[in-house]
Amino acid sequence: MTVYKKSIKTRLVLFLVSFVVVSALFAISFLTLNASKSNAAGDFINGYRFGISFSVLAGLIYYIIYYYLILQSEEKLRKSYIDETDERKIMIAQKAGSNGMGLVVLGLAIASVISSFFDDKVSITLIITCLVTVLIHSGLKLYYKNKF
Amino acid sequence: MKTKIQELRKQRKLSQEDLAMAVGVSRQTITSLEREKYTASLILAYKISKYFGVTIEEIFDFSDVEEK
Repeated sequence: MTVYKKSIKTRLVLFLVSFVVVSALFAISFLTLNASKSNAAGDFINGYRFGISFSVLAGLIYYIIYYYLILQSEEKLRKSYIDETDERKIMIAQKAGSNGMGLVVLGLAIASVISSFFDDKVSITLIITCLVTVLIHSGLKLYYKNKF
Repeated sequence: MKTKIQELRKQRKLSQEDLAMAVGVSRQTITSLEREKYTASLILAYKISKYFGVTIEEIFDFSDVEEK
């Protein structure tokens, strides 16, 4: 449990640093709100950049508060530890290819944001690919959850 | 794999959550074990048998395991 507590503290620090970085990106996306061409695709890309940085920021805030609260209570820490190391959950994640799929989705999301500054079509294609990958992964997880 | 986990748990008036916390797994894992949808690992089987104070063979039914 000591090792797990230490890993939670490390995650908390990493998330706090990420919060600062993403806040800067959020500010940039807000300032470049009208950077893309003023057409349907351009407006969509503007909204996408703004929305994705906002949702990442919201996610980071949620996990910072969550990990902080976990560190205050031994029982919550134990529940969180059990939840993360549950063998059935790990098996389902392995069968659904969670690690690989997660990296692919992250890569596609980052690529879609970067490409949005250069080409709208490429960015939209990457967004759709990312969404389809998430759907496939979610379907696989649901299938294995019901199977086991 | 058939198990006697539910039977032993009810004898001791434990909830699935209580047993799950005691052996370090989620309640969903205990549910899946009792429904015979999931087969426990050796470590989990050992933890459960140790918790109930019986042998692994007394909890898990190996008669369905076919020899190849």
